[in-house]
Amino acid sequence: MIGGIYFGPPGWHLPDIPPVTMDPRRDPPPHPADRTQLCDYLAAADLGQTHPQFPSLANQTASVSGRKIKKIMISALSIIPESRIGAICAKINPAEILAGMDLITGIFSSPTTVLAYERIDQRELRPLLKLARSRCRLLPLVSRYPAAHPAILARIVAGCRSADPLEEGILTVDLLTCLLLGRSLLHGTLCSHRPVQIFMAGVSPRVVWAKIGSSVRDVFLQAGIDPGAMQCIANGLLTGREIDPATAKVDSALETLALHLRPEPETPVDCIRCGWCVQTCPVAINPAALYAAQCLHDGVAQANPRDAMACIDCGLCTYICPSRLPLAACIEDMRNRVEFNLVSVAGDSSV
Amino acid sequence: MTTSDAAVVVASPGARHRAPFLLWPVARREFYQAIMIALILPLAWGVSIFGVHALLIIVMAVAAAAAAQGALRRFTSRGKLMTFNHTITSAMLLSALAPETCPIWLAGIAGIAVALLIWLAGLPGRQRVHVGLLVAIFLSLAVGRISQGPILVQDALVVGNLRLTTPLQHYRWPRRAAVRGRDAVTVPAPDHVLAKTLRIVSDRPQGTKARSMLDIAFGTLLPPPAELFLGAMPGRIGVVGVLGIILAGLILAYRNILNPAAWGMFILFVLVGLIFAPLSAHSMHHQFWQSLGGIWYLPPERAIDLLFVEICSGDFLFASVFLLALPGTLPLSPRSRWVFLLAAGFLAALFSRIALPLPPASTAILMLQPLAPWFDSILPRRSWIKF
Repeated sequence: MIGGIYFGPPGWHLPDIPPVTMDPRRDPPPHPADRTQLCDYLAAADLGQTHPQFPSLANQTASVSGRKIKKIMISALSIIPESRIGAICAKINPAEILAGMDLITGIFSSPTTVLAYERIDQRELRPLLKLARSRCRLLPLVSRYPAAHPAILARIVAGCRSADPLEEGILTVDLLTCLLLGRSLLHGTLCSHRPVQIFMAGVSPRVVWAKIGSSVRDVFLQAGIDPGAMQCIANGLLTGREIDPATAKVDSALETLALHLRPEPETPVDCIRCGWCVQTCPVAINPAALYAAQCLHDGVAQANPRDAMACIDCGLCTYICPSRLPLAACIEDMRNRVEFNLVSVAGDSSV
Repeated sequence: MTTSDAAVVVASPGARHRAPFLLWPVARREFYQAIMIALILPLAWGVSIFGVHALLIIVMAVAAAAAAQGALRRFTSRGKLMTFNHTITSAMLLSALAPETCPIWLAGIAGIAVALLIWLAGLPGRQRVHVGLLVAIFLSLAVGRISQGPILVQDALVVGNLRLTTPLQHYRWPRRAAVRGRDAVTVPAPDHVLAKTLRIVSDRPQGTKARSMLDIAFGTLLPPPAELFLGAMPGRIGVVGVLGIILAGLILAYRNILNPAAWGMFILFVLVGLIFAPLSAHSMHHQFWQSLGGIWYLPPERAIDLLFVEICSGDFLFASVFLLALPGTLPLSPRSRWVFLLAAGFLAALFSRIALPLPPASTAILMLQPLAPWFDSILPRRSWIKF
């Protein structure tokens, strides 16, 4: 295939995941009964953001305050195309996930709870789905990257058109948050470890429990892989960032680590107007026009800078571009500029 | 051809240092390579229909373009930025749209012109029209109308020996010395016959003369559907082989190079040219405008025949597959694409009725292509995400 989209659900075989003992809490707080207590509980359990692009439950709980939640969307999908975090969570312990789910649904008392999962993970998810069937609506999806992004998932599940689903009363929770919250509730532990997937060409994927705050190099050694001089990318090759395993530390939002040979740099050439970036953009913006407007200061492109605000940083436009233009980076710069201007305007008006 | 640097998205310097760290392994080179491979099919089909002369035209055009590019790369600094695949694709496009009657030396000059124009206009992406298409249009104007083109049919080829197999009476022995005595026949060009017939018929659609004209046209002047489908008719080298174009289209669609919207042009051509045009039949007084409503003057049993002849004899299929697969032809936003295709369909139908010595659909696209960024600016793509 020359053009088109590719990143369907990952089909790699899940390895055995060794059990882990999380650090115990010294002064376990009581089980939370309302939203304020949940905020405090999440802070006490060290349960923060589990993915850079996924809203943390603590932040959502704090910002929603007393507003009514119309729908709770529990996602067993992964934002990173190569990751299978939903299946991994289900394989670790479905009972812990259910405990977390029950607490969230109980506190937010939403009329609808939806559990969206990838069909290819059905085998691993079966024990969880059996138990969850009576508690929530199951939504099997054949998703393709980046359908797991909260904005897109909210559109699939509820027809929501907002960049932040919470604005339309949709609470988004990932399965790992449910798992860690449930574990904390059942065993009175801190979220001191999190599962990290490791990918390397020629080696089957590994899953390890990485201690938060430990060195990334130690995580590789734990998995029996020597990173050597290879390029190390955290959180996916499409949206992640390059890290140095020797100095980088594991944080709560580290989902995957990938090692690969540093590619030969390719020189960007002129846009040939093939339209692939426009076709692949999941939020229907025109990356080529935004690139022309931002990086080339081209007024003819007639791009609206506010369109950059819709970008979800999936990286597909840059990935697919046959001219190798850094479209995503340019759009990110434009978005930062628009946000800066908006903040400036808001500041001026308040003065 | 115009080159507006302000309107062109050019690469900014600076290597990628942010995500994504993975790139689709198809760069511009592979993109044009895929189109080039697909173009071989209709060209090979054209060679099987028109014989050695057509092969020589293709070889001469491609070789001249390659040689000119080699010279430009050798002696100029701008030439070093030219890409071989793009130049060869343009030369192949030119030879596909070249009339079979084109002199070989003229094909060579056209090949050189392709390379020179690419060199002048800059790299792919900087030119606002397809250079190969532009040169092909000039070539068509230079060669003139193909109203009575010869078909050189080899005994052992797909269509067999027309002299022995065809039941039609209108095939005549070629008059040109070059093909006299060979296995060859001549036949009127179907699109020319069609345009002429419809113009006569639209004057008095119900008259006896109109009926007899239609009978003559469909009975004797136009080739039977099977021969139309196989491309046994005068025309352009890469355009006559309908089956070859369809196969090439399938290849391009499989490789995701042919945009699904490309089929829209084909459908819109049929809609605009054959269905919407009856508005002109009732509202326009001039004979030419009335003839746009072609299908409405025909008895129902002839309508399908007309549709088939329209599809097979013009360059609509070729344009729908190859020109729309080439990057830079269409606007980028889906809405502007449909408006563009609607306009292209209407213009193509118009040019088809005028029966100019030009490929109608390709000419329509060539005229609209510089306006593609303008279509994008008036109908921009807006995200579904609300703020």
